[in-house]
Amino acid sequence: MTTAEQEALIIRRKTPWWSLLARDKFALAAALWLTLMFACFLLGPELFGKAATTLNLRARNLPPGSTEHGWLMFLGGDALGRSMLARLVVASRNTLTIALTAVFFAMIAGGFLGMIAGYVGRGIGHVIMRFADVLQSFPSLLLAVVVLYVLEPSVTNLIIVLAITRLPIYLRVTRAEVLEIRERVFVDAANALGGSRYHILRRHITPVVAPTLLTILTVDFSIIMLAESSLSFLGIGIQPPEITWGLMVAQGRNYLSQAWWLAFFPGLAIMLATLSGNILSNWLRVVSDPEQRWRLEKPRTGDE
Amino acid sequence: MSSAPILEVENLQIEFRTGRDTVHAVNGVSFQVESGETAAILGESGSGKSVTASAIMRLLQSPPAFVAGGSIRFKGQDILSLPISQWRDYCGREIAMVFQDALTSLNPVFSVGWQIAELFKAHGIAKGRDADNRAIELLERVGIPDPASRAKDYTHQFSGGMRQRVMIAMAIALGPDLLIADEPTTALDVTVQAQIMELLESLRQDSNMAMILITHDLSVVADVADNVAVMYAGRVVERGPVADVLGRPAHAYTLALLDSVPQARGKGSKLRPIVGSPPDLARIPKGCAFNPRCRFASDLCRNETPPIVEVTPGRTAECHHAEQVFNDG
Repeated sequence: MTTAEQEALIIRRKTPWWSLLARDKFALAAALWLTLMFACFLLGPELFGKAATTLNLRARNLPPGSTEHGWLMFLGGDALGRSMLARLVVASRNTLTIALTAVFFAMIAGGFLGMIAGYVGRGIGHVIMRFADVLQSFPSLLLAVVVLYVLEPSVTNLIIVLAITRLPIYLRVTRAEVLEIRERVFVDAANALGGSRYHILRRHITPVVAPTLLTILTVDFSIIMLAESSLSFLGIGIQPPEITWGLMVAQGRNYLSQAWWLAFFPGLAIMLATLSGNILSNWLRVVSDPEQRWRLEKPRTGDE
Repeated sequence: MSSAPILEVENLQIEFRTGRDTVHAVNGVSFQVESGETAAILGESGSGKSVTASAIMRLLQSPPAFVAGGSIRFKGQDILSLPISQWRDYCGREIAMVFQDALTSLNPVFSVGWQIAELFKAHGIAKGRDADNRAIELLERVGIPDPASRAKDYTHQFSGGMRQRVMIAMAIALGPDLLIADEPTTALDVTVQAQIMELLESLRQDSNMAMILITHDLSVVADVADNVAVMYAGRVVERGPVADVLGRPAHAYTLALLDSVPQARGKGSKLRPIVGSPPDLARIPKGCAFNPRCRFASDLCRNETPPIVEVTPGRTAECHHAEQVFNDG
């Protein structure tokens, strides 16, 4: 090994993750945006709870960009003259709680069932796959409507319904990946060295499947936010005066021709949240993959 | 040295049942491995040697693979009748395997030190720091320079030979009594091949471990093995001490194999490749399986399965013309 290579190796071992993050502009911006969202999630309702529900009829459908009604009205006012900015901040808690919990449970349950279906196989695998077929052949919105009419539309029920309707995607992807990974030689090698089934699933299969699932999770995140908004629109999701971004989009749709900002800003919030999640998860995937990490570690040269 | 054999394979038959055909990958293989010896299984691709190894480790996926008959006894215990979870307790501790391609046999997402340490953890032998230190000791033992820092590297940061050393380190970690090496040097170039074989051989002698070396490389067999079993179309066609078998073959196939090896030094005689290709294992020819490619083949060979002939004491060949091959070959 030449000295240059050795040096590169030393740099590689010593570069901490935050310095890698600082070097990647997009990933850094995404991380900052998500941090801001998380701050809104933690503090928003306490700081802006009152402003989000205060009516100011003189500021009805106030266009964005003016501060004559105070800086809270910078993003405009909604149909009842409430501050858009305050509402966006306050809505982040409900939105993120529902979307994150739902995708998280969908991923855990789907991933778990998918691993059983792929690794244990045969009988129980068939049962699980037919269960996924049933879930997928049933229109998810219809399922949600039925369940939420029977049960009451609370946040918990909403999360459960959304998680169940998204579950088959995780299940199928996990199963397909497991079927491929279990045939790899390192799984045979683990078997030959006396690894138990549980050990192989935990140590050899899960770490290889996990990045794929995390990538789907970030995409699913936005799908769930929109699904939640359509349920709210049908009157069986989150009910006013509670707010979510999806509900704000649904409410703003009525005013699209007169006041585009009512639907635009919450839509933008959903889009940015998804985009940041996507960029950051992509970055995380590269950092956590030992064979890809060097791409980020490569020292910058001047002519790049 | 020669007490009870550590491994006895008797009349092992393995079938792969696909939709239409049944492929007879192994058709009655018998051999024994004494403790402390190196036994080689020699054969070309598709002769059933790797399937036999997988069957011993019980790695065959069933379906499509089925053990249709015969028995495998490890230290007197019939392993095919053991529940798989009990057999897994033997694996690693008493019997271990080195695979052909170390790149794919190591998990790409963990550092090699971690993977070796995990072996100790999974078997409940050592934990935490202790396991890490043992991993580093092992890496040193298999000749990896600067083991403490290399342990933090990932599989793709190692060269082919170094990877195979890591794989060997994992296989010998728990001090098994029998090591199965399935073509351990096939993916490596010749100088590295020699180093790896030397390493395996010295590790074997240090711990008096038995080794089954599966290969298609005649020179490797001649170098390290004590006994050899030559396989063709899922049968052991010739068995005996290495020097005798390769020095004076008694089976037409072994002879043909020796004739088709190029010589490295100078220009040798013209190579005589074995014409044709190995038989379709779903349709093995009648009589001796080698008859369509054999220059000694007679009508007898085309119609009747050859008997097992004891050529000299401790040496058998499955050939109608064993005497003739042995004497004029």
